[in-house]
Amino acid sequence: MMDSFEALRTISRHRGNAIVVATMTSHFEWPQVSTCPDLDLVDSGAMGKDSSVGLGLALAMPDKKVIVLDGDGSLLMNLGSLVTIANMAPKNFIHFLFENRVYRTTGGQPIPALGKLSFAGLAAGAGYPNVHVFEDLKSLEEGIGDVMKSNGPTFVCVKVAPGTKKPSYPIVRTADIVPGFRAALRKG
Amino acid sequence: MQVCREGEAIGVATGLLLGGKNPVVLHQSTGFFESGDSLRGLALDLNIPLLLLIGHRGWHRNSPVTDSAAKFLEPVLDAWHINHYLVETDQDVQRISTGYREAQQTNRPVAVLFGRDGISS
Repeated sequence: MMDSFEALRTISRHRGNAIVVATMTSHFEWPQVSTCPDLDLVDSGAMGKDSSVGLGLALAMPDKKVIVLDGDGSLLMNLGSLVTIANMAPKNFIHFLFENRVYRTTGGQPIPALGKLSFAGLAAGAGYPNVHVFEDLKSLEEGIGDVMKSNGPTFVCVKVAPGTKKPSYPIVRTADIVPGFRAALRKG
Repeated sequence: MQVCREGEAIGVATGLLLGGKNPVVLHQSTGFFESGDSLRGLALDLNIPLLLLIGHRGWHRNSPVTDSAAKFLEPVLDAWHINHYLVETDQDVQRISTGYREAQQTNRPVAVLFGRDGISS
């Protein structure tokens, strides 16, 4: 198990010029570590739907890598997106799943099926050709180079410590950043 | 493209639009109800010019409407301030273009509903 901030810092160092869609806990934490905020869409507007938004971006812009920083509670609200993503199979799509086993932004309630559920198993069963699980920071740092080079769609389960409180960083209001995000995408 | 559930379609369409493409979403009224939070949190809150083509299940002009999907569709669209147009006959199909242009001009979702052409069945 690793600290979610350390995991995000590792992803940030390997991000290159990828578009990043960050939701829920990452909505709060990613803006604290990102070095390329113009290409970030931080959004928690629709429950669980940011993997779908990332898929749309990946299909619209096949020459850009798209990274989704998803939460386990979020993915459970949109499990069908695994099937849709695997079916559309965008090569430029990397789906990070931060498994903290709680609904952190609403106070840390446990997700269902703790100890029974395998997110990697769900992704593999849906048809993702590449599935990785990283239990600690050292293995993430060793493996992330291959993850970033892979032909997607790629699913990466990152086991992070459960936060017990809602993150206290100021939340970025998505509607405020969308015009700048679109302008950055148009510039390429 | 196919999706597994309609709320997903709103998310994918939002991503496509932000990335410069021009999607429309084709679904039935029941799927519109399912996609409510995605419409609110993405299409409405982020000012997405999205055309929603919605099959108006159970709606008939000349016979009693008993399907709750038909009874609630237009009141719910009105409650959410989503403008809508009804297509019943071939003469109405220009309303699809009207809805599309309105979505582009207002940066909002606009719905076009497809009902039966006045013949009960």
